[in-house]
Amino acid sequence: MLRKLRGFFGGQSQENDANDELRFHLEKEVEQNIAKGMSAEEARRQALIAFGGVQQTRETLREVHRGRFFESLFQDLRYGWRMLRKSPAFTIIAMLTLALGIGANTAIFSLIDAVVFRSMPISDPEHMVFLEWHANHGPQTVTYWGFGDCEDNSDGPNPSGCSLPLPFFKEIQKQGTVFSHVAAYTGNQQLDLSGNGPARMIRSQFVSGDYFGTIGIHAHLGRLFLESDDTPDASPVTILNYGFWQSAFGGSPSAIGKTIRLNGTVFTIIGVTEPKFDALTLSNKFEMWVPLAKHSLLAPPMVLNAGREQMDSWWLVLVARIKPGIPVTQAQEAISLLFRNEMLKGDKPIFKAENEPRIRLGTATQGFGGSQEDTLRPLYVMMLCVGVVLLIACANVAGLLLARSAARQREMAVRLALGAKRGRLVLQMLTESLLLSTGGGALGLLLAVWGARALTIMVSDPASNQPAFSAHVDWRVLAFTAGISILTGIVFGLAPALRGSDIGLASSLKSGNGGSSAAPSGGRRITLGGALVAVQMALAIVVLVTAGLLIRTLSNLKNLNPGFDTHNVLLFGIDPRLAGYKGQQVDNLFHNLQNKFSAVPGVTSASYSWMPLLSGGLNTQSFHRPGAPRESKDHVEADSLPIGPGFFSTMHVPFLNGRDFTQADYAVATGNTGDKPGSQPTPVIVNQEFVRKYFPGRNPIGERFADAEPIEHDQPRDPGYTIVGVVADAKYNRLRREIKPTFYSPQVGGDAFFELRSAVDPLTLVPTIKRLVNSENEDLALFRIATQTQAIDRQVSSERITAELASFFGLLALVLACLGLYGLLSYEVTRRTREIGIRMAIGAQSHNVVRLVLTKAVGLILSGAAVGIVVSLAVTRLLTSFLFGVKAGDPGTLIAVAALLGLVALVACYIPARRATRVDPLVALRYE
Amino acid sequence: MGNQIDLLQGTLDLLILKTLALEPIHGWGIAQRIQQISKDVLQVGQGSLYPALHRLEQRGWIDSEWSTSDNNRRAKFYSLTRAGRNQLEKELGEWERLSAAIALVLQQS
Repeated sequence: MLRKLRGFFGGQSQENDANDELRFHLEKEVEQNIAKGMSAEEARRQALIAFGGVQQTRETLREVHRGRFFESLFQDLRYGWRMLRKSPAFTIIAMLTLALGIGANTAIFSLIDAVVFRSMPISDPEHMVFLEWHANHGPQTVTYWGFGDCEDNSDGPNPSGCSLPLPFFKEIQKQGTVFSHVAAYTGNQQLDLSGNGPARMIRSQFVSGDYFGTIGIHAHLGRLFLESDDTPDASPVTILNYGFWQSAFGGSPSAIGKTIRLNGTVFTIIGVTEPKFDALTLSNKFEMWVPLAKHSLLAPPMVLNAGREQMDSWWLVLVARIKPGIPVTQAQEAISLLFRNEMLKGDKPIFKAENEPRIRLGTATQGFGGSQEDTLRPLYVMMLCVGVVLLIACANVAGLLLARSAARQREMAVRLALGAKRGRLVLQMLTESLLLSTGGGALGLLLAVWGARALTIMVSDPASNQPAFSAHVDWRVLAFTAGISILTGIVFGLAPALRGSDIGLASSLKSGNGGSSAAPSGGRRITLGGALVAVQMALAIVVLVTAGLLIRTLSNLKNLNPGFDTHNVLLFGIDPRLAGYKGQQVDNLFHNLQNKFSAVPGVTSASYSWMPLLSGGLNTQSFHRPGAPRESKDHVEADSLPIGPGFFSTMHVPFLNGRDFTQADYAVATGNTGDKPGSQPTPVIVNQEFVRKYFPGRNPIGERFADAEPIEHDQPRDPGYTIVGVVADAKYNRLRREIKPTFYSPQVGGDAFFELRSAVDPLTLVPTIKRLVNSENEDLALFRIATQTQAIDRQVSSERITAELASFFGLLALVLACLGLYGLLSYEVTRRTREIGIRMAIGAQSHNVVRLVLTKAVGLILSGAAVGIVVSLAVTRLLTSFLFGVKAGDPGTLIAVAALLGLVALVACYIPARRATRVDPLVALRYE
Repeated sequence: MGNQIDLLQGTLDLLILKTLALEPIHGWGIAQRIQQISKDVLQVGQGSLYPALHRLEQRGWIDSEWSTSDNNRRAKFYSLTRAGRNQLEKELGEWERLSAAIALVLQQS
């Protein structure tokens, strides 16, 4: 036992021991030969001949002593570590390459996993279903509200969606045949919260009584809704989101039982949800939940007011749990039948029988993508880039290992000659590769953890402090990428080891430094290495072109002149109707506030509009084409934006013709909003595009349009609009959208956003403005406070993230590819030192030598670039929808990328080329 | 050297054990003794001797220790262990059975 332990650990002393023993044996032989009468020298020679291969015996003895696998493994590891430490540059580059490849991939894929395949934060999500309607034709609804929980496509071909009417929900509840639980809910409802500090806007959701029971979420504190809370007569109660309870109520248990006002109605807080639950769909976070039956108390007047109880008003998402034992298909049939009956009955059926209305029960985990398209698209681009980087990393490591094994060919030959077994050498190479891959993998893990966190923050809305979701490193993904990288290490570490151990001993030993200039085996190996470098170049081009196009897109968007001055503008919304203002009161309030804001020091002018510009909100109006025969059905569309007085002077949009609105114009507009429109047309201001399209070559001032005949005879004729002014073109809702014919009308009634042009940093005005508004009425809340620049930045945030990430990975790809090129050329120069020496000795000049090195490099770069450009032409076509102001095959970008790559690649060539010219012919010829 | 015989697989182990049964001795001594006793027919090269010795030691049949030989030189002396003695008995028995069997076959023809 003791002896075995000694053999296990005492590798070194064992070795010395055997050496001494063998030496003693040899000495005795010599002695004996001398005794036989030989000369001392002859005696030694004969003894050595008789003795045979000492090394071979040593190897055999070692084998005997190792006996066990582990002993040999430990030694290989020790030896491998020594070899790696001997060439730190190689080790660091290879490990970092692997780490970046593994880390970046794991981070990106973990994030995508978190976004796309994340499990819902509810109990047993696989068994919850949502109701999705399908038909051959869109439903005849009066209102249809989608909240982004699933893809609503209510009037395309093969329409479908997941918004449904309240009576249908009631009918399902009444029948109660296939579902054990069923619940209905709405999307985001902005509510004005007061009675807990200053008034503020919160995001809330109306849910039916069994909502929390259906999704299986429990109360952290207090209780959740019961069916009895969800009746019109029940006293109004509300439930807080855990995070909101923490931030707004300091996590105090005394919040339970507290009363607050929502849109002016008193509600009692009865509970707080579990911390893990925010919402069913990503990015739909709510601060409070309110019983569905209370929607009429809270709905702002004039919006969504009527008809919510009707069958033709679709505004609820339905989720359910199927009763145990009932197959999904059977439940689906039963619900479809009910749906069909409900939809076809009554005097105004929603569907015709031939529309085949039906319900599909989708698993909630699959169907509830929510509105993640914006989050996902950049991630898919990233996935592509990162995948390519992983490929480059693998090619790089493969190239490094190949070059290294070629350089160690002589070492292998020597060890073979000294009696090492082939298997041992292969095992040794394998151990080294594995050591490298494991190191790279460990670093990659660190990078993945850090990267996933950084990416989450990057793709989250910069306006909200907390990320919309959390991404954890996905172990399956990590295992996959690490597996790929390690496999690369093994394959490319092993192949040369197998080949390297198969070399002709004599030729390798003779040829001096590694493969000789004439050795065919050496030539073949370089071709493989060269191909790997060319592939890396090609892949790098693909990523760089992608990055280039995205950067161009971002800068095109950012440098786009939207037609107004975007600097120093503060935006915020106010909805006075939530605080009880009605009709004319709203306009008076706005007028009042506008005057007060204008007087604030630092504010140069103030105005308001239905929506701020470039905030995403859009209103379009269809009307009878100006100039077309009255009886024709020739309708056109124009964008329309209701604005307050002084809007254009505040936004710095120049007037080209006519005048701004006057008080009288607002009075006319107010007169036209009621049930009976007045006789005067509403004055409007139009943009250039409107004139170009509908009044070409004419002075549009005083022209009327949209004064169509009434649809039914007893109704008065719509007075339409009259043009009082023309302004320059300006972007409306999105930077990417072209400027359409637009008319601006006087804003009367309803909520609005203020625009404050300031002489100072706009955000410094916020406290003063809030105080002003609160002093006007403490129930008034400001919402969506941002500067115009922030609003635009938010709009291009997805472009910005993609461009930033793509550039990062593009540069990474470039650096990796150039490292590969550098490694290959350095090796090449070392390998050909003798050849270069001879050439110089017979008169080659340094420029000849440089050309010798560069010819190969340029060949690789050019072929790589050519392939890369062809591939990127195909790949970037996938990006088309994401680009702005630049085409997928943009020659400028391609040329710039190729030039950049060429330049950096030449720098990578420079160092080895320089070294080649410094070769001293005398030293080189002696070089052995 | 023409009349040397290649040792049968496993036979060397038997010869080593037998040699060591007399007295502890170093590797070179073992080779010499086998050569002398076999009248130069059996020559054991170091290339097979030492691996065999180390293998036997690993199996615990022989033991080794460094001590001084003639001329005050340090040499590694091998000796038979109790297990080795048993093993020798066993192998001798096997060898006798084998050689008797071979002899029988050879006499028949």
